[in-house]
Amino acid sequence: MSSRSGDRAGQRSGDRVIARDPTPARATAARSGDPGDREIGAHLQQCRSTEVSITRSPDHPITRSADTPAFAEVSFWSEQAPATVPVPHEVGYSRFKLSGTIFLRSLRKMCGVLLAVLREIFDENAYERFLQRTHCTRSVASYSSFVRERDAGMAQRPRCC
Amino acid sequence: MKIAKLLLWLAVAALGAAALATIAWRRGEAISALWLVTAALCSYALGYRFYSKFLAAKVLALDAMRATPAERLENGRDFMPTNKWVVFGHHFAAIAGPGPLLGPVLAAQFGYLPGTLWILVGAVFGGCVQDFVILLFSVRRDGKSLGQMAREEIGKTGGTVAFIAVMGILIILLAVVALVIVNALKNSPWGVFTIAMTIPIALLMGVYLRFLRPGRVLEASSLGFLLVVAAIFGGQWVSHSPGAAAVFTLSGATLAILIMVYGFAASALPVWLLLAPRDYLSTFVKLGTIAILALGIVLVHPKLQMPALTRFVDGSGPVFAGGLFPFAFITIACGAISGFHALISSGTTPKLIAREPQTRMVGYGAMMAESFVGVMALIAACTLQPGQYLAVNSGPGMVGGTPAAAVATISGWGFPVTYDQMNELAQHVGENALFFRTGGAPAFALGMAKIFSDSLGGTRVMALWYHFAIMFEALFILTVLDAGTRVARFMLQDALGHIWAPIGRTSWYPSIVVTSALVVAAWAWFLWQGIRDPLGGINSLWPLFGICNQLLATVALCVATTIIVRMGRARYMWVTLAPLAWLIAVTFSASWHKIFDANPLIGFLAHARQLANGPAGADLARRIFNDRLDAVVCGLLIVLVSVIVIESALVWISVVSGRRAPATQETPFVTTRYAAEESA
Repeated sequence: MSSRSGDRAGQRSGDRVIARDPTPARATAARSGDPGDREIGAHLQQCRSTEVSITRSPDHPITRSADTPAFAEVSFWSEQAPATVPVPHEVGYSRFKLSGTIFLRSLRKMCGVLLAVLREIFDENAYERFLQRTHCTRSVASYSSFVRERDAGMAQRPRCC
Repeated sequence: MKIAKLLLWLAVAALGAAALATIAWRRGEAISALWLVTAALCSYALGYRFYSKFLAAKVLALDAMRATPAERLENGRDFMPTNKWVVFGHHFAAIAGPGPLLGPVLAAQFGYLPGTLWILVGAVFGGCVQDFVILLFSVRRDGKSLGQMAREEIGKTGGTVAFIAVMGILIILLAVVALVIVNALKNSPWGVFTIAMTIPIALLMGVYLRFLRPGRVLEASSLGFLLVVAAIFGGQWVSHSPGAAAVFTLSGATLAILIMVYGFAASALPVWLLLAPRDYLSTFVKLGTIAILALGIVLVHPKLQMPALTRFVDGSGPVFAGGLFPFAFITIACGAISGFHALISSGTTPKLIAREPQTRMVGYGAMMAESFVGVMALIAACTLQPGQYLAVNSGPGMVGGTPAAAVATISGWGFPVTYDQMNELAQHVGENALFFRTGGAPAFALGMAKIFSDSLGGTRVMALWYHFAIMFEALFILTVLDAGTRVARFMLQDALGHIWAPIGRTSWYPSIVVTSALVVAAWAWFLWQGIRDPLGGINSLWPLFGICNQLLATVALCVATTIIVRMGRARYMWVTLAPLAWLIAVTFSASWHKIFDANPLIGFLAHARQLANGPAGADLARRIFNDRLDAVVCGLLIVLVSVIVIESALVWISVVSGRRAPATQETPFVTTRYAAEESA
């Protein structure tokens, strides 16, 4: 989303660099005199020159396919039976099996969401987004760049009493 | 189907009413903790289903078609549409700190009834509303902070007051939590060793994350957790080894100095080395322990030993002095309503919200979860024998100065306790003594250890559970301490940068060192005052902290009410005006008491006068100065908040009377692209 209204909104929000430039680290590096920022910028340029594809997982909230909304609703309770599972009519056992399947699918989905929550809290998703954005691979250098970029945000993130 | 739903909700309401009636009217016999849990769950269910839905539909008019900043400004870094459950977990992890654990434990001196009612009513009608409304308003303003919104919607003073209130809260909060940790660890070699070990463990995690397995935070946190558990067992060995125990047996003053040095180092060191790994480790332990505690309470459903109401509602309590009104309502902040949450709701969370209607679940729902943590902490404290609870939580100056005098005084109040009982309890948890451990952390750890050991292992493992609980709280608190010092340092650099530009550069080392030292010196002042206070320190510092926190909530609710009025929905302004009016009554009267009350145990000025008229002492002048400084800090905050309340009221009156057209600073409407995807 790079509409003009978005840009204006970004300028008002105080996140000027973020809103105007989709690659904030590069933008920051370009404008700032800070050697650390310049280092990140140089590293990111290097990453971009070696295009590395990101493996997308259809279930992962961050790396799922671009045409799947990242915020897709997760409903544990209204999960429908998969089309391949025959709808039982007479046999009680089948009914039991079906509810078991639904239960297992719901459980798996719950565990998936729980893991996604933990990965978000623990910044693993943020690092993945960083890799995706900068076309870097997981490495000591890329993690250092990520940490540098995230340092200020991390230090200013309020923790409640 | 409609009738079935109606019957279901009627059943929930009836069950909740029955649970509340049992809590309120049962006298003279111990009740099961499950009544509190039932009352809480039913209240939250009804509040969420009906009240939050009313807020969402009528007051705020949540719009599923409006694009959020996470969508419009998506950059893969701060702004990112994220699954609502993920945002919920993220938000809850940020708002759940040591506050909801310690406040209810301290307020348990009034009995379990006042704390329970305030936590439930305060959360459903105050705290959840504040978090929800501020989150939504921030979402509609591109994720702006509370200070920015105050400046734009109320006036320039709003932003300044918010800044000063946040700084005030941070400084006093840091002093209070540092005092809590000192009181929990003094003369406890086991606890000191375990907590000391978390520093090299965090450093190791930092190195692991950066160089060995970059970015594998969950893996490193699991490893760190195992090492911390090993450190708890190591602490047991240390406490039994005479040589090692002597090294790790530290006085309050020594611990205070070490914590000041730690705070300075954590603020000045690179984030990746200490702050970030400790933050991850603390969150890991926090989420796990809260889940285990909830499970333990449901499984054990312990009996509450504390009466519903104690004699201390008159203000003569030994844990902290002051009557039920207003002091119960500033002592319990985070479990009911906390201004600090407004900072989180206008911080990272609004930048992750994908659809506007999700603000209801994240803002209102996460605060309900936080409030439930407060209920669990209250239960943990109330499962202790009242005499033991008071012996642990009272300062020496409040109950006689020596253990023998303390048991005599407390038993004389009608809460029997003996020296042998306290000794036995201390042996069970592997401590030398448990008298005068003010601050709430040891009492909470005792209650938690009792619940855990009743469900698993019995008294043989109570010591391990106790030190696990102490480690859990101390980890929490140290995280708040180092992150808070750093945040305050950034704010100070930002403010001083307007005076001299180079000091505003956050990466310039001289500036880092000077501002870190200033921030540490500020909270260290209050900490030292607490350490030397014969009344236990918590008696004066916790109310001051509570006042600061609730004043910030007052600022947040002023902002929220002003925006509602400026949205042209003045007829619904009562949803935020009612909690605001209550908070003004509570905080202003608490401040009045803390400054001017004639009782020297409550009023700062009366205490200063008492000291001045009493026998001369070595540090008399310093103690008198401290009391007067506390009074000035309290008074200054009240004056500043009065300004913002008056300024807000003028805006409301001008809009309601038609002198000013209702208009807000919302970002213009943009249709969400997800709507098209949904309809396709």
